[in-house]
Amino acid sequence: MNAKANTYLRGLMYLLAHVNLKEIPRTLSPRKFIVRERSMVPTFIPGDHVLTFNWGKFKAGDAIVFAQGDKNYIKRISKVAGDLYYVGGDNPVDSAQLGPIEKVKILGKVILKY
Amino acid sequence: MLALLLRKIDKVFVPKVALAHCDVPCGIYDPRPAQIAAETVRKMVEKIEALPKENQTVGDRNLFVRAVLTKEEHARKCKEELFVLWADFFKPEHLESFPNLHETFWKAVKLCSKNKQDVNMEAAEELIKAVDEISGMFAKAKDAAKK
Repeated sequence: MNAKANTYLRGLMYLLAHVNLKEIPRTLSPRKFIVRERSMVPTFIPGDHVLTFNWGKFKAGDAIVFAQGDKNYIKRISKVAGDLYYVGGDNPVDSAQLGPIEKVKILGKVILKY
Repeated sequence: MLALLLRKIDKVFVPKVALAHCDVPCGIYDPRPAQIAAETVRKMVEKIEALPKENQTVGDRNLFVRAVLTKEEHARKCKEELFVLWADFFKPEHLESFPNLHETFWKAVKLCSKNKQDVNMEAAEELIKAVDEISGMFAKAKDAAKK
């Protein structure tokens, strides 16, 4: 085995030893949700399906899905302050400010509506 | 294409729900605004029909315009209130108790549109009945939730 292959093997061994593989799909995999209720109208109407990823940073303006209690919510980030995310709805009639949300609660950023 | 594929996948592996609930989940629902709006529509139809058909004064024409505007606005409001009850208050489990729930709402919102389009006392009366029926379902659902 040459030195390069040996390095890769060591890297792999390190990952296997230190990374909880069960957590990888939970944190990296895309998730799909069905939107219910109306606070994100007109961007997302009840019955829309959305695909989310949680790679990368979340910034103001991103539509995100986050967990709160035993429910998931879809909202848009209005402001970021460190690890806290202030979110609100797109529907001015049916919306008020909520937050802040901790980063760990964010399940993903909406990248596709279908 | 991707969207179509994902929708097909979702039929087998149904995604979780992401609520876009109003941001302060208030849980305040009430059919009375819809009932008042429907009553107003009927009252406006009554006023419009009572106007003289000939030799209308400026005052008559002014009242006609105001009554039509009010009818339009309250039919819209009624529809909006019904949509809130339909989409937010009633849940899939209510279909067990009210199997005709969707049809009742669908008819009622259609009647809102009809009352916007026409000056028709029969349609106005039907709207009131439909909203009252929904109000009855609402009251039963509320009572059932308390038990």
